[in-house]
Amino acid sequence: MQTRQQAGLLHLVGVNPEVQALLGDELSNTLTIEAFADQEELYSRFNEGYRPADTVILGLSVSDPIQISQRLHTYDKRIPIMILSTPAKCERLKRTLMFSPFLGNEVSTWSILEIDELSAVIRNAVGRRVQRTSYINAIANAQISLEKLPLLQPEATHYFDQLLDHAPIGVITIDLEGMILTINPQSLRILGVSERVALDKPLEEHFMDYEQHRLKKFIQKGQSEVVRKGPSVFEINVINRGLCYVEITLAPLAYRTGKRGAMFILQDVTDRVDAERKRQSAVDELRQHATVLSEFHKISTNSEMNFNQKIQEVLKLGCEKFNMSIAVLSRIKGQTFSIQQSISSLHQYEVGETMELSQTYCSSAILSNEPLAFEHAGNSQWNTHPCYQAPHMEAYIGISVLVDKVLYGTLCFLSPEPKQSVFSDFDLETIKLMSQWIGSELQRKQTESYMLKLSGAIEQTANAIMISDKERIIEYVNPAFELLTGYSRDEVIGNKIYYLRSDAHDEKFYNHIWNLISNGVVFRGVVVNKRKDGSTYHEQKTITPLKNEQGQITHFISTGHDITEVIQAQERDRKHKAELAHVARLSTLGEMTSGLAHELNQPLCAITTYAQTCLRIIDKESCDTEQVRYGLEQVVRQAELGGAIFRRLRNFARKEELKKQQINMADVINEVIGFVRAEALQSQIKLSVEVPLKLPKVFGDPIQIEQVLMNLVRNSIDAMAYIDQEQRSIVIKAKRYKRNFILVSISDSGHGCSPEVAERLFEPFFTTKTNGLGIGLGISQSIIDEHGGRLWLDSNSSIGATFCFILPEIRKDENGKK
Amino acid sequence: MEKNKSNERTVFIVDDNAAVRDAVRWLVQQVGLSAKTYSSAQEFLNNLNAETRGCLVLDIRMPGMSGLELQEKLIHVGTCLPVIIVTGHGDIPITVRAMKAGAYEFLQKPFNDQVLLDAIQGGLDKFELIWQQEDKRKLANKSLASLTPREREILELLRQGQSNKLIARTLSLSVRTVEGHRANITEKVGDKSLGQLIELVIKSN
Repeated sequence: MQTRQQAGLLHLVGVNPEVQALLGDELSNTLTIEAFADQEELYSRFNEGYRPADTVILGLSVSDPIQISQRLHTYDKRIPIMILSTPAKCERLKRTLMFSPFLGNEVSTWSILEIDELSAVIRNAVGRRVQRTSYINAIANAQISLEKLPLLQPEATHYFDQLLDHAPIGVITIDLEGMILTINPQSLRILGVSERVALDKPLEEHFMDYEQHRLKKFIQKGQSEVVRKGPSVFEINVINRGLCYVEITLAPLAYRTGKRGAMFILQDVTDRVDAERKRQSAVDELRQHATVLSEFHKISTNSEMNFNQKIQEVLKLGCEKFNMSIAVLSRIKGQTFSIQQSISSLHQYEVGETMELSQTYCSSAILSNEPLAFEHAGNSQWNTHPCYQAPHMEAYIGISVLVDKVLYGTLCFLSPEPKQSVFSDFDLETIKLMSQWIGSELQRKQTESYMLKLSGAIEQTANAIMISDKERIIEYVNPAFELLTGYSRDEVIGNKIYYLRSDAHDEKFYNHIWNLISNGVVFRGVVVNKRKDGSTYHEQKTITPLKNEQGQITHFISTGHDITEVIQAQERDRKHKAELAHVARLSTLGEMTSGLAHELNQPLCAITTYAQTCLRIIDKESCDTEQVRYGLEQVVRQAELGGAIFRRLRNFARKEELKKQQINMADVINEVIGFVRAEALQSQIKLSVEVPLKLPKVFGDPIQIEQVLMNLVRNSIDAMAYIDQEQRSIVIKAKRYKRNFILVSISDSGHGCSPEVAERLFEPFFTTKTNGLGIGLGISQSIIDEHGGRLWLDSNSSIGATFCFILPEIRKDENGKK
Repeated sequence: MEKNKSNERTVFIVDDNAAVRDAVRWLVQQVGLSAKTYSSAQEFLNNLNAETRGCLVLDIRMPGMSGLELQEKLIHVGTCLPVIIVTGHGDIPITVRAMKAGAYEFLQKPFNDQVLLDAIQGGLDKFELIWQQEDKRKLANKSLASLTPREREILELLRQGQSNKLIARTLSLSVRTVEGHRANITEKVGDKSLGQLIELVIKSN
């Protein structure tokens, strides 16, 4: 057989005799050639069990060479096949081959025209085939000899055993009956047994009762099936280590003896299983938490429930979640703990019940913002707590409820039974979340009711309120606004605010307000506005810019009320005061007649004398006109002086009010000095004035200010009637005061006034003078008040008194405006 | 100065009102009198001496020292001047006080120029005699001041009407010595009769 193989076998099918002869001549010495008339003969040979040829030639007489090739290749697809054909057919065949399925490169066509070269090609193909066959056989032989190797090499087995002894994995082999044949030290360690105990016993015996059946089946299955199975984990109770987990991988094997056994690979996976368990329980817990949270979320966002129902649901949820029977939402005021809402069958936890705060665990819970929880009060320091004594509550979890950072009460859950499981961190987080939610809800409710009150107040108030956006488009007006302006809400909302404007103010005024409020400054002032019917009213207005969190102005809130009547009353009052002041001035003039007469008498006397002297000169024979001129000039001057005094008198006595104007305080002081000089002279009083050169002006009615100053100076003159003439002096000073006032002080060197008098100084009709009206100081005060200033007795002692008054300066930037 | 005519006397005008002061000065100067003006009583006092002669036109109401006070001061220092009080507002108490203090005339502002000038002239004329006597007395005083104590003693005894002999006995002097002193006295006080001498002594007192 071997020789024939080496020689090679060539089958010819349907090859014509000439070709057969040719091939026979050339190849018979190296190949065995067998010829068949048709393919059927060849098939029968294969079916009889003969080995396939090394090359097959299909002749021209073969009808369907492709099909035959396919058939042949089902026996052995490495047989080279050559199809002989006419040159014309050759190309077509080649193409057909190219697209034929199941035919590889071993099938080729050959044109009969090139028959001479055929034998060489055949020899080559057969050679290749023979070579490949021998290679395959060699590998097969090598495999056979490899299988025999362990039997031939006992040292290698020993080495293998040694390796297993030190392997970090457990390896066990069992026989068909399931008895342990070999067991390595690592397996002994894993199973926690000795080799003596383990050998010849079933592996499953070491495992937990409930695992034995499963393990047995696992082993049986592994033994009977050739396929490798994945590992499986079994529980085992190991001495000293407790419950452990062993992963077993099963590898079936056959022994030399022919017995089929199995080999196990054991690994202690306790740690891995534990970790897995923990992970699983964590996942479960998370899932549980998610459930709680989603339920909580459902309750809190349920729009069909009112707040109390929501609270009730939350309490219920808490009871379920914490496994407690009692739930309480409490209100704590001082030392009183009152039940707001609850779930409980106990009387003392019914809604509306109150108790001493110290009687509750909550008194401890409110000491921090974190929850307080314990499972078994009886086993802890809590067993002395009053709440443990009386209602005998064992388990508690509670937390303070804060509303706007202020303690409102507590949310707590109680149970008269000890709680079996420990409160988890999540429980604490859950109750915290609940209390925060309740707190924020309560705050929102408070805010809501506050807003409701506020909006009610805005609607009801008598003040006209208008809210506009930053573009001054009206967004809201209240009923009082409608009443005041005559415009209805629908008419104004959405419009700009301008149409309330009256002609009383110029554009500058409105720009000024706008500048203020658009810079975030609150405007307060009186604005004259126009009603719908065209009539005007005075509104005491406050415009407040409203800012958002970024500090940008979003709205303006204007509040105001009609003060037209107040203004009118003020106007009347002012007129009355002015009239009174006028009366007082006339009275003053009356009192000053003597001094004034003297004052006027001086220029009159001078005039008379100058004039008489002039006459004298004219009467002379040598009339010196220069002299006369001198005299007459003096007459004119003195007459002017007298005229000035008259003008002053007339001004002072005038009834009609002067328009307010810029006043130079030095002028006023000079004017007053002019008035009282004579009087002071009469009383031998030294009058001195200290006024700085440049003093800011004040704004007001000069005559009224003059009146005030005159009144004060004349009071001072009167105050010095009873002291030595040498000591009589009055000092009038004017200076700047604080940031923007002018202060005028009038100091005398009199005896001052008694405390009783000082107290009543400004009372109307109070006077110490026999012929005084007692209205001077009162009027002075109201004049200064009206000018935005203040009048007071600054110092008062036995060596003199000082009265002061201040008036606001005109600021430089206001000059243009007023 | 002692031989000055009355129309060469000075008119002193004391008034705090400059215009009145100037007007009066101008008037007085127009009639040929010299005038000096003062704005206050104190200013006038500061420029005053025993030899001051003239007529004072004084305003009563002035800051500082009033006219009345000045009038009283003048008497106190022994100055002898005619005082014409002018006032804008003459009430009775002031008038009485001024007259009591020896005011020559009391005028109310505004005054008639002639009345004022007459008053000034009248005052000057009246006081001319007084001033002359005053001058004599001063002269006598000056003469008597030059006498020795012994001569004064003798003069005093002479005034009492004692004779030389009696004087010599009283003073335990010789008559000759007394005669010698008398000659010295006569020489010192000028050529005077005994009667004149005695008059001198009376005046100086």
